[in-house]
Amino acid sequence: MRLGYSVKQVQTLIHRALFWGVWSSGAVMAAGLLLSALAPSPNETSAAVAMAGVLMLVLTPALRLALLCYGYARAGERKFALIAAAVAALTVSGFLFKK
Amino acid sequence: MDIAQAALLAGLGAGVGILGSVFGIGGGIFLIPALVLYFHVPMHFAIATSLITIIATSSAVAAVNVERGLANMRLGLSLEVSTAAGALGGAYAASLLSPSALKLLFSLLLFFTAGTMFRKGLSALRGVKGEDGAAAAQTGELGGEYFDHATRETVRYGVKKMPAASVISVAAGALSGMLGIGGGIIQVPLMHLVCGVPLKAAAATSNFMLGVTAAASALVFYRQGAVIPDMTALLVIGVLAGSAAGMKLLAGMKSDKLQMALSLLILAIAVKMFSGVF
Repeated sequence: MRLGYSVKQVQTLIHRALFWGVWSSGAVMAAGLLLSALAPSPNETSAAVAMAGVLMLVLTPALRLALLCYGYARAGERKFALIAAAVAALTVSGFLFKK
Repeated sequence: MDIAQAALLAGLGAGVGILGSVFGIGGGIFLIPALVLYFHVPMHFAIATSLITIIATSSAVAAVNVERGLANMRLGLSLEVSTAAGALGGAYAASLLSPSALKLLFSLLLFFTAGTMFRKGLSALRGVKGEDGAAAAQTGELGGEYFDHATRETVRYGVKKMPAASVISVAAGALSGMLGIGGGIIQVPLMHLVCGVPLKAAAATSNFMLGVTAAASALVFYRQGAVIPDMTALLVIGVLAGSAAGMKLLAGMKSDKLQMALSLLILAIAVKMFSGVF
């Protein structure tokens, strides 16, 4: 069952997600560094902004997996949509590990 | 952190990015020793930082390779089940190991990498060329095709021995999660030699996978509080700038002699790291 999504469209979706994921997280990190440089003393806000950028970057591959799941589901490739969902679940389960 | 230290870190990131894009090696091989030996960053924090820079370079390069059709997304996704599971296990194991044990394992990995790079450079100097042929005429559901700009031909290939590749990929993921490297040193030969994927597609697919493998283990380190935001941000921005510059400016610089020289540098780093363990 094809629902109107081609391989090329899935590729374009992933290209955009990775491109914007990297550069937007880079911009947030740069903003955090700028805030830190402009502040007269070390502050929590700049570190929090930089950390938000780092977290956005770390979650970019998870976003890519979620979009692969969506794209393959739209293309009627249920098997690969399920694999993408399984890998996404595995990836974000790293949050559960605490020493 | 003062301005001089910040500039040094951004410069280190840029240098790692340039080396990575010119030689196709993960930045962790250089970044982790530099952070541990010269910036005195604890080993676990250095591994976490390296994993995050790997996500940045992998995602930036994969964005291009996916659009060109060079990265085989179905194959990458299928192997990511194994590498992500291995990465989670590797990162958790790293959190249980002492910094000295991790340094020892990392220095052993550096010895192996130096040897592999030296042999590759030597083979290229002697004119021995690797095969880059397709595995099978039947591409199957995991097979793929891409346009090779060097030969101006469309290359079609199949994928074989997936069960074996899946098992070995667990080890590649574990190594990545435990030592903060990309894992391409295992994944590329695995896809090329075991699965029969042409080298260019294997390298692009491995790069595509690295982001997910590194993210799985980076989240473990993040949860354990092993991420230093300012330092990581500086290095990521440096690595991204270095990778972009490396791809545009230095592609023609790649030489077999330079690769051999670099392998000697890695050997020297391995000796320094190894001697610091005891």
